[in-house]
Amino acid sequence: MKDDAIFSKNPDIVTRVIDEETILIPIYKTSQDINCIYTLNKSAAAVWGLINGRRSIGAIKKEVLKKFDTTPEALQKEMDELLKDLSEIKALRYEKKN
Amino acid sequence: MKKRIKLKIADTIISLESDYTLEALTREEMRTQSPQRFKNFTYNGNAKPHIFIEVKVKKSLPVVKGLRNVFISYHPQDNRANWQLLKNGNMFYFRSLIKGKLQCMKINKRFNRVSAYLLPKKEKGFVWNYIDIIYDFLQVLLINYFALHRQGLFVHSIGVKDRDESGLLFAGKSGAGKSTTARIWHAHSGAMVLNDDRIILRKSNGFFSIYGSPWHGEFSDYLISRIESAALKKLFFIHHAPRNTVRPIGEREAFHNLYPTLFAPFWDKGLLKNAVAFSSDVIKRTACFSLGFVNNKRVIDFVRNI
Repeated sequence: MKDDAIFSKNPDIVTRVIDEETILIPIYKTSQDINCIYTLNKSAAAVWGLINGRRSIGAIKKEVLKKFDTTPEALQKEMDELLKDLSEIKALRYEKKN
Repeated sequence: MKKRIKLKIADTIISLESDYTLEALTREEMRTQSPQRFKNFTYNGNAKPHIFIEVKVKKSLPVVKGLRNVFISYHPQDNRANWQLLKNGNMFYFRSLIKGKLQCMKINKRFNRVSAYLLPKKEKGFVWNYIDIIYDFLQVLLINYFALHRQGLFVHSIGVKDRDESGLLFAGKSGAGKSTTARIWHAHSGAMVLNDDRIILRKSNGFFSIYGSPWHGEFSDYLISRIESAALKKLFFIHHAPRNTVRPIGEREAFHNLYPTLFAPFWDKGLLKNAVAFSSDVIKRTACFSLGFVNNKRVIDFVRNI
């Protein structure tokens, strides 16, 4: 994912932190859809917390690198996977490039 | 003159009122509809109702334009649509989609005032029966009402009021062993089984209590006990096992076990947020366990010794 990309969160998701674990709970339109809740590890939760529809992926990376003991390459890989996963479950929407 | 019936479910008083005649059930209808099961929940006291439902029997159900779909519930076995929740502005609309039981309810945003529209019954005409309101509508209404007011939750579970009055909740998805657990405790424990399928969990003065509900599972030998409640002491997530085993679990695991057993307002972010917060509060303040059990009465002492 390029650094100038911007994502926004799906507003139809409830976020709850339980015992330091961040859980994403989607709302549903039919009883047949009710199946999953999603959990985020600490760094993924930090990324999720920084996504706001205005902040670029590059800016988010900088913030996360300050807080976690990781390399830019490792974070890049983790964020690519996370953004792909969250987009697949429609928790995120790609907004635009900065 | 208006006919009025009051129900009390989990300390919530519901008033059903109508200008129309109450249906007289035939012997066959008494057998199939088991109205005595719900009679335990009728209330004759003077406390002010929390929820008012006015029942109207009309030739046709109201047609409301501009409704937006909120949620459709399908029957898990045959995939037929059971009911639908819709919205227009601040008003919610509930529609039963079951053939022979079509109905429409107009609900205010506080979920405490309802206009219930029913169709006339074949051969009986413009009559109504509170059983028609209890299934499925009242359950959906209470799920919303409790979530909005942050007062409670429906849990797919068995509730037991033990001999020392403490409340034990055995939660699990279909097939986990709820009916088996209900049978064992009912037959051998001397405790009271509140319900074998749906328990209402409520919070009052900082404490959680479990309440029986009119919505039952397979087991129905304990009709009289369903109006009871008990202070929640322990919460077990059950599964069948080759021997009785128990393991205390932390908040994370408890939430992952509890959430799939909830009848939560999955359709509305604000209500769901309240329900999730309530669940989180329950597991934080209650001793939670994973319980594997064998289908025999030894599990009773096993649980009591935990």
